[in-house]
Amino acid sequence: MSRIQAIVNGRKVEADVEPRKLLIDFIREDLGLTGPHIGCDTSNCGACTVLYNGRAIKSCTMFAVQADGAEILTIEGVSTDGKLHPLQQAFHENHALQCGYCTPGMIMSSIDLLTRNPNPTEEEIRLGISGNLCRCTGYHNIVKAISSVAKSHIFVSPLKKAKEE
Amino acid sequence: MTESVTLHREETKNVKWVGSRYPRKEDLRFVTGNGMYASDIRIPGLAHVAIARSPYASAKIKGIDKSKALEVPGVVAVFTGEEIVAELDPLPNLLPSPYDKVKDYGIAVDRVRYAGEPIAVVVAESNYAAWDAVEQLEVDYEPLSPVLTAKSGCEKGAPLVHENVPTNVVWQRKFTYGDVDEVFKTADLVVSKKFKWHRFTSAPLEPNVVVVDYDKRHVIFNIWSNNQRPAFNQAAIAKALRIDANRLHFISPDIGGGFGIKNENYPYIILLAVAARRIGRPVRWIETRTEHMVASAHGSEINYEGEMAFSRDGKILGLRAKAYHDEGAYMRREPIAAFNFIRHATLTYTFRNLEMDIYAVVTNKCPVGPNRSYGKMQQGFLVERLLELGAKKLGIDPIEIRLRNFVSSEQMPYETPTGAILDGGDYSRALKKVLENMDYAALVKERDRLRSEGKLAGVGISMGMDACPINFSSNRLINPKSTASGESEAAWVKIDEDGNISAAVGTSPQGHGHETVVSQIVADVLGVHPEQVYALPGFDSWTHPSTPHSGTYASRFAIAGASAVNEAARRVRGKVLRIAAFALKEDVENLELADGSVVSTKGKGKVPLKEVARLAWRDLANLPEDEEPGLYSNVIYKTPFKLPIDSQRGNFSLTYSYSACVVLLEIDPGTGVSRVKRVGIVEDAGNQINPLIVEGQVHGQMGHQLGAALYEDLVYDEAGQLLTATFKDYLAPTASDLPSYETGSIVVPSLFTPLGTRGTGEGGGAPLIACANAMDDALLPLGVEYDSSYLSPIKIRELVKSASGK
Amino acid sequence: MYPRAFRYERAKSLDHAIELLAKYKEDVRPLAGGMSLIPLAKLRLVSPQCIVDIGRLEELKGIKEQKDFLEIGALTTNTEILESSWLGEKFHLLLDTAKEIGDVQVRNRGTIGGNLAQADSSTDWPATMVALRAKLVSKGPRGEKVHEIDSFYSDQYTTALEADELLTHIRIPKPGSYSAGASHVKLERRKGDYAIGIVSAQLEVDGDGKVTSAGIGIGAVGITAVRGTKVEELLNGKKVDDAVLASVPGAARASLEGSDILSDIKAPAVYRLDVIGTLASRCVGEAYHMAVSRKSARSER
Ligand SMILES: Cc1cc2nc3c(=O)[nH]c(=O)nc-3n(C[C@H](O)[C@H](O)[C@H](O)COP(=O)(O)OP(=O)(O)OC[C@H]3O[C@@H](n4cnc5c(N)ncnc54)[C@H](O)[C@@H]3O)c2cc1C
Ligand code: FES
Ligand code: FES
Repeated sequence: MSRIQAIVNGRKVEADVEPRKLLIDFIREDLGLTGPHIGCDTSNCGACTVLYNGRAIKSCTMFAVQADGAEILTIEGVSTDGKLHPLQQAFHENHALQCGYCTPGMIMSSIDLLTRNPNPTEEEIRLGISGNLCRCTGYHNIVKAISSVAKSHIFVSPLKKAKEE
Repeated sequence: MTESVTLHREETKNVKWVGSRYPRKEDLRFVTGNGMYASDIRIPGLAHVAIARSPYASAKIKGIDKSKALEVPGVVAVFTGEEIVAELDPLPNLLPSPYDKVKDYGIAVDRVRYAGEPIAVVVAESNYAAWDAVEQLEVDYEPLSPVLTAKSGCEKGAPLVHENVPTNVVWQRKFTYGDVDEVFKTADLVVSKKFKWHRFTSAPLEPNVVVVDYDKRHVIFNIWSNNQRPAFNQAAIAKALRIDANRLHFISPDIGGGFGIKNENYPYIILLAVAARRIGRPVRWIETRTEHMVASAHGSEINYEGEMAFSRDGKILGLRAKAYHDEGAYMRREPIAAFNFIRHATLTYTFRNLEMDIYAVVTNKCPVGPNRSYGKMQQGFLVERLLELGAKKLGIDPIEIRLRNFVSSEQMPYETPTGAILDGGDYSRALKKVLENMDYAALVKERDRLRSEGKLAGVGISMGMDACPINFSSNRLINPKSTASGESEAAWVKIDEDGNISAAVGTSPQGHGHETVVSQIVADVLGVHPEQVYALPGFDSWTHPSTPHSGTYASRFAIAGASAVNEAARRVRGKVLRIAAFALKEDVENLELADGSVVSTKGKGKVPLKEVARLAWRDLANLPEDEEPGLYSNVIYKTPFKLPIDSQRGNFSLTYSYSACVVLLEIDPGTGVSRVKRVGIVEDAGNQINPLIVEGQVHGQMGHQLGAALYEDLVYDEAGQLLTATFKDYLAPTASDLPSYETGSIVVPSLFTPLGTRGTGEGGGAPLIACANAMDDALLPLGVEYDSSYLSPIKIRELVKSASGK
Repeated sequence: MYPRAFRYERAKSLDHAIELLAKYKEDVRPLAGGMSLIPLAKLRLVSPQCIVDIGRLEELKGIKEQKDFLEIGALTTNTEILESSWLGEKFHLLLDTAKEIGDVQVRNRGTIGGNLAQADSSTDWPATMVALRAKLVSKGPRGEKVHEIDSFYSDQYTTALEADELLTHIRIPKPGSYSAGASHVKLERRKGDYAIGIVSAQLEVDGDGKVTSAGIGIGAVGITAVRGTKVEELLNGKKVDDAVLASVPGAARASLEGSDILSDIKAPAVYRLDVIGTLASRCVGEAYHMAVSRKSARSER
């Protein structure tokens, strides 16, 4: 067992973990944050995507021990002040989700994308979410939702907020 | 953080909610990470299950030594197939005797029949420990030679997949309509071609999950799973467990996509139930992606030998085909995929002569099961591909040939040779509209421009048909002993004593937005806002109504589910009006329900719904004499279906939604890689309860179908190992691999449903088929014909090379 | 999936890392970005007894321009490279390569050193390093070594490194002129996948448009990345016109003679050998075009 500390969604957590425990299992099983999901065994689907020190990563492809000292943001920490984040609102309005299983990961990757590139082209949006598979929507409305947020310049990084809290 | 989040909605008054693009109510929990999926359930004392699986496609199990596995730290129990099966009866299948004797327990006992078949159930304190123990199981196998194709399975002397039945051809029937031999003799043109329909899977992003808690105090199995029709499956599960079905308490919470496959996780429910009862603790199994790929329910794999007869002017005279279905190792829902051709065998066309010779063959591969557009896209592929080849040979434009063969809107309702009664529609309008939306002339120009740049490019057109829901009397054509007929769905609507409105349906949605759609329907009937209707999420057999047909499959919600809830709401409305009429001393005919109140149109005042509710539940002395208290209605809607006409004909679906699709495909001749440059579709789902959701379903079909055409292929090697067992090798497409979609719709209401809706969702495969037709068009300059539903770059490149070598 | 148990050690410094590796030498793996190691561990295809986490070694991170070469720390992530747009002027090929790797999540974690140490010819960096004639610097208990890229790989998943040695830096010679043209052509079945064919090229030209220096790397065909020797020979001293381009496919295939060819479900060997010709002529065409236009842009200034 190794002792780790991390800031998850602005809260400090401390735990003993078996070294082989994957970060996604730590987040889901130990912290009870079941927003991030598991959809594959080979790091292809992105359902487990969280922000790790501000960047999108696949939490199934990291050991929890590696995250010692890190700041992690999951989908549960994205909305603030009782309001949906603009991306969450846009996913809703554009019917960018059906079963919702890919949605948490999609939104986290979209945050990484818009943080670095506030005005992406359609191609850049598609590339930005190419590490996230969706089996329901055929991606059309997801691209539309992300693009609508970019076009109306309402994107704000949820990271700053999480820090302030 | 997320607890008090709200959605922003425009305030709108006095609109009809049914028909509006109402954004989904369920989204809020999903976009905030608060969805409740089966793997999110937390129960104290939970133990974790891993399933040990066969590495061989076919082998005898000579022994299993579990002693080392039991020594692994954290292991609770290990059950071999033999130990599990001791507590089970086999799962039923649909086959006529003697093939009904094919034994299926969901776990192997002394013989394994596909690589990935469960052989033991391991229970441990964590998933990690459970997998450690799986590795320590010592199994003594005697490998046998596997049957890996339908054709080889048919051969004399082929090894038997199930040794207790006479052959591997577990179901065979030839269906003949009209005078097929005659038209083929006299036709101006007959095209014939062998086609391969490749094996692929809809692969929902959430794998299968089962959690079972055996409550021995009440002798109840509490079952959380992502099964998409638990009420449908409960009889089979109860029978296998040798218990009464009312001892099964099913909960299907939010489901992460199903597409048919999640009908088929019921064998795991049985395995987990046995394990939970044996160890006296709740158990949870979360399928890994690899397990999902090797052992859930693949889509069908078919070798077609097809022929189509034409007159000189391009009229289809007849279709004759042999279809060899590779069914995999167990016949769970099969041979339905093989049989489903019958639902709309002639698609959107008028030809009357048809012969389908179907062979359902068991092989040592993953069992085939329901997958989006189950058996429907395959028949569409056969018809549309042969039609395309005929058009080419006859020198008739692909659009023109379709227009010449369509059933016209004046002919509706139209009875097809197999007895299907098409419920209205305008096929030529749909085709013309998609061509117009896409600017077909410009599309062809673009194709020619690409060709002039040295690319291979093709334009492909296809129709698709989605026949739904299922008239279960069709099972009698598979097995005359089958006693089912028709289908049904249940719903209740309730207004409680404070005027709160709730509704529930027996469908278990997997992202279809039923909470929203139910709310829209109820809101209209009761004159309230959809936000005032609480539609119960998911499915819970103790709180939701259900029938043995309940569930979300076969694109049935807009017919059965919607009709049931609509009727339940109407009955509640009737009662509300009667009570209000009594209170206002007004005639029911002069009352209206709007904005949460019952209003007299003659100025005799109004009563808020809340007040009616109080009267109905609490102020019982003030109710009309003969009125039962309460505001509640439970409705079982019976989809109007009849028995088969004869042993090979009947109307086995109620609505026949359809679509027309056009694709521009570009192929890099240097690599054989193809890409869809543009794709457009026009769909007629009849009246749309929520066009936003219908459009989303069409997008979903696109994603699945284009994925299947260009990327997804389940490939076995010659030992029967699945080579595409992960998302690394099974190429589920990313956003960068797919184009944006140009979708449109026309609305010709269904003649047969209360709301004029047609079932939709699965789709009829038009995008995939259009890709195959576009491929043919692209290869035309090379003088080669394509023969598969999968556009493999390797094969295309071979064709390009062999053509340039000519 | 769930990896087997292992011992976890976090290295505090490069020397500490080497000490740990030496200590568990029999069955140890360094862990960098984990984008190859962890998926393999999850499938239980690789299960070292000990994993040494080198992820925090600051001395192995970052990109520095030295006098004669560019030095990239082994732990520099693909994203860090991609976001160093200043590299575009002299080392365009690095940007071209980094952007092709996986997806944003994989690029955010995956490191250039881990990629090269994995010795998978289907990944993007090995072919590029061949094209750039990179030198790989390693450190172990026996001190520092400098490896030529051409002798770094001996087989699939096999490098010149010992179990207790770490790749520390990658040195990339500066192009002789500022007008190098570059192209990284990758054939993948699906966006972000491992390649089924890679050609990476850096070309320099003189005022007449004649190639003065050519570096060609071929990946995802042979079991290791291979130098396109015959292509380089073909191009050197020539203007790349259609006739030359037409000879590139043959030269690319000739360069692979004697190599064992990869073959799997995504692409059988015949296919890989076939399409590499197409990829090679496209890559050379693009790199040459860029070199010539950069050259003329410079001389106009
Ligand atoms: C979904 C997905 C898609 C991908 N697509 C691509 C792609 O398109 N192109 C591509 O190029 N790659 C791709 N990759 C691989 C990715 O680039 C990996 O990051 C890379 O191969 C390994 O780098 P890493 O830092 O993650 O190394 P790790 O996984 O940490 O290590 C890889 C191996 O190298 C060893 N190692 C690591 N660092 C050192 C060192 N400094 N010295 C000695 N040994 C070391 C480790 O012990 C291990 O054996 C993909 C990966 C995934 C998961
Ligand atoms: S679960 Fe992490 S990428 Fe699929
Ligand atoms: S919405 Fe179901 S996987 Fe994306």
